[in-house]
Amino acid sequence: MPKNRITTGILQPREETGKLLTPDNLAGEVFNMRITDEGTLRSLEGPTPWLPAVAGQGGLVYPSPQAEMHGIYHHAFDNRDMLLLHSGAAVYVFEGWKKRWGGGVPGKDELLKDATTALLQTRVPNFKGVCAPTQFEGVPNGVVIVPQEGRAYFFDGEAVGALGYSNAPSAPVGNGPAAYNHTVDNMFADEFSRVCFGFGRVGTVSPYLGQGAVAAADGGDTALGMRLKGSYMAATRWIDRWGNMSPMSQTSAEILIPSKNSIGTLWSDGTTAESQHMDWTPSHILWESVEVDTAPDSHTIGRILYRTKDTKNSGQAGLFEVPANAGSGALYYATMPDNISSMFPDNTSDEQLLTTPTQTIGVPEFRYCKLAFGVLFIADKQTVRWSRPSFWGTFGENSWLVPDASGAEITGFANTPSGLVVFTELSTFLINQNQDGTGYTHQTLSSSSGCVAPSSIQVTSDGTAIWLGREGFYALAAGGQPELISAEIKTKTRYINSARTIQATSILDPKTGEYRCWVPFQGSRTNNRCFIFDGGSWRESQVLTEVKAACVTKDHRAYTLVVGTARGTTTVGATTDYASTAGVYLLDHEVFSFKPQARESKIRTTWIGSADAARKSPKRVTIWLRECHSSPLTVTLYRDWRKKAVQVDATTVKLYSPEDVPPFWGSTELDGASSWKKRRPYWTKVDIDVPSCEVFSIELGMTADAAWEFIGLEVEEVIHSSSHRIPR
Amino acid sequence: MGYRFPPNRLKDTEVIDIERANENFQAIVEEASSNLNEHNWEDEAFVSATQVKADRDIFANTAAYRLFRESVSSDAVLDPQSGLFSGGDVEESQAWATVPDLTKTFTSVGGMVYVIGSCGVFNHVDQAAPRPDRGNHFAIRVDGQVITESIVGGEEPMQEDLNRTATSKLHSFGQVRFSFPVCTEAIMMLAPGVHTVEMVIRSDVSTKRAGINVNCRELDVVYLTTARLM
Repeated sequence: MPKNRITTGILQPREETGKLLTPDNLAGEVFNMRITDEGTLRSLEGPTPWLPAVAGQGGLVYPSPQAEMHGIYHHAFDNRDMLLLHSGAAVYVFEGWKKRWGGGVPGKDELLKDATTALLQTRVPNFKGVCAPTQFEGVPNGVVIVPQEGRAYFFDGEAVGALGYSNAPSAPVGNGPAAYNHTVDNMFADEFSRVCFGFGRVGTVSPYLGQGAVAAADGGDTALGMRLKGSYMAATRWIDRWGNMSPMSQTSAEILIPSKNSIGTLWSDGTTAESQHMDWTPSHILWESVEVDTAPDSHTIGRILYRTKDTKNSGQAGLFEVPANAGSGALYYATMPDNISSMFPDNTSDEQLLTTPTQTIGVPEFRYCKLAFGVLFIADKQTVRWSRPSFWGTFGENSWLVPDASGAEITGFANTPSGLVVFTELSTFLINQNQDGTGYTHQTLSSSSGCVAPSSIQVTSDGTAIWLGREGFYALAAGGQPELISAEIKTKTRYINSARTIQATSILDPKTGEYRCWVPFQGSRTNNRCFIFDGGSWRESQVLTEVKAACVTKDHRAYTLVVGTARGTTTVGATTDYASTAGVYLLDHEVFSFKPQARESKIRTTWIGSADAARKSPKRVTIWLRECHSSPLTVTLYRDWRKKAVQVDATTVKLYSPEDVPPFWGSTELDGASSWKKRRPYWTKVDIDVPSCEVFSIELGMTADAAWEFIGLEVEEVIHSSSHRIPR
Repeated sequence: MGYRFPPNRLKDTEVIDIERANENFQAIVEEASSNLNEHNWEDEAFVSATQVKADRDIFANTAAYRLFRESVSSDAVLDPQSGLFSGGDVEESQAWATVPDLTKTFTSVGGMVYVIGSCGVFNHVDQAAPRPDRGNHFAIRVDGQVITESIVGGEEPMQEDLNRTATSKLHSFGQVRFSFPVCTEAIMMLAPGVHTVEMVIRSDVSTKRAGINVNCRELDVVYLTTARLM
């Protein structure tokens, strides 16, 4: 090394910053690069279409829906591997066995769509404007699908329907021993009735005859008495195949039970009065018009009938669940285990009425939800509601709280080890179970920072929640307070299109632990920039033209899937097509049939030398790389705080060591002297000339369909004693 | 489980790397070791042309993945002359007899079913031989076997809407005209195959005689389980 030169390095810039006076080891920009297991930076590869194109008449056919993308979600449960896609005005299920997106069951082309070809014909919103991606929430027995307009749906892998009920059935109509032809003493009870058919059980019995009644002459030892005047009312509700209950119907009109002495006519002649047991006086009653649920989007499998006890004599008000006749007892799921019949013969005594009903509300329209504590929390505007455990579409009338005193609308949830974090745009709360375990309480974590994008919320493996707020990205560690973690890149995050932040989408890569959030950047209408946070530093990427939604498969693959648009060349046989295609893409993987458009990847150091006022002249850069391919790497020099290149050296830096040329794919002979080896690191030197500058920055990058891998760099420079400022 | 992709695409002029090549194989080898699932097999890859296909046809014909039912019903037509309902006469007998029309023979995929039969019943007697009404039993009968648990019975003591006076002529309006409603139900497991389900009635009389008239009636067989595609 020539005299007077000093070296700076080895610099290993991995961490992006927008600050001016920074340590030399930071990066001004790390774009489309990822950190490898060995700590190097490697340019991103991929994406690959989830389904390959096929040859069709007149060109290639892209099997993914091409309409506006709204959401994607993967869930693994009950030995099912379910991948859902919301595209255009339809929701699809991935049918790997047919290599297509369909309805998930034979003969159906969509899961949800306003068409008879869908498993459930319903209108699915197809927003073109600003809204969050379609929300999905995986639960142990299926997926809750929450389009950003209208009702939420539930899909269990076999059947799909509206989540819970939004309306109640009408009240049933009662029939009993009404006033018609009723006389106090005209009770029918022949011997066959006694022996064969049993007694009625509805009614209140008194061991006294009514006033003026006279026992018949043949009364003998019969215990006379009477049925007291009473009344009964009932209500009903639906229950669906997932156990969700509708709100209860209105209470029916009264069935009036007339009083009745236990004196009747002899069966053999029909006229002679006889004394009869008072146990024979209770009646049967019949409930009619127990409403059937005919809604096409529900899966009602039963009705629960509720009845009062004798309101005039029991001393108890309120409704009780009527046990099923045909079921297995009082705990059977429904009084009427069908959705067809409309009559229910009721011979249930008051003593058999034990279970009081749960008062539930109709499922409101909501936009965000989260499974926590075994229940589903939903954001009903400013109100947080929670479902009954395991019944994701049944919400108790008292199961709610409003965390924000100002009534701000809920903007998202995060399920952390500390509890359920609830956001508004400007505040953050923590919800936990109360001490009795009977409900939930909340506490304020921040009244100044909130969340603006529900799909930007992720929770890392150490329990830290990360999300996008108004000022940038925030993190909330267990037991802590929300902290802004993107202050270092505020010069970048300030260009996130604040009018469209709600559409941001994110994933947490379980393999790398990285948080990736796609946002609309620099006035874009779509998510065109990805900010990547590895727990300590930020990077950026733009692999697809736009990313509308993203998810990670919940299985051992841990694939990152995104829906959006990618440009590239598709090859099927001898046919190629260069196009920008909407679809479902798998990140970080590449296949032969799809070659992404060449894209830029680069690393730019921060302004080196900013910490001292001396002028300097960088002379040479030593770059450590890993041999990758035969393409050149561009080295660009900037000086004195200006992003204007002063030197471009595009020819001298090879991505392999000229002294030890590795074998290349495509040119190495089979069975030749070359062998498969692990790529090795090497270094190369580049002479540069930036005379007497205050600060300088070095950028390494390339625009190609080929990867390169960076390890570090070292700069040789001459420090000048003079510190005169020389404008350039 | 599911689709696996090689992570790397070997490109011309790229340095040959044993690790990247191995990564491409690793994903496939891992997957084939034990994690293959429904997405990995071509549709109907293992369907034989006969048996399983037949099951699929049954499945397709019975409203995929939804509760489905077999049902029969009959609306009553009142004969103003007799005050009875045409086609609804049942002879009173101690033997079980099918409630008119309420029999259904169908091919089942098997599984839990809920059977519910309902009808309106009127016990009428000849005016010349008036007597109090007799009791009746109702039940569900499957393949000739009466389901004991489904037997419900007859004129309960307080079904006083029935005319208990000396004459049996229908002389009133409203509910009494329909006499009393009966509903009986049962839950049972059905084996796959052809079954006959009936709603049956018997009367508590020692000798057969005309005397029961049935009006509106229906019989439903509801599957409580959904058929699964094999």
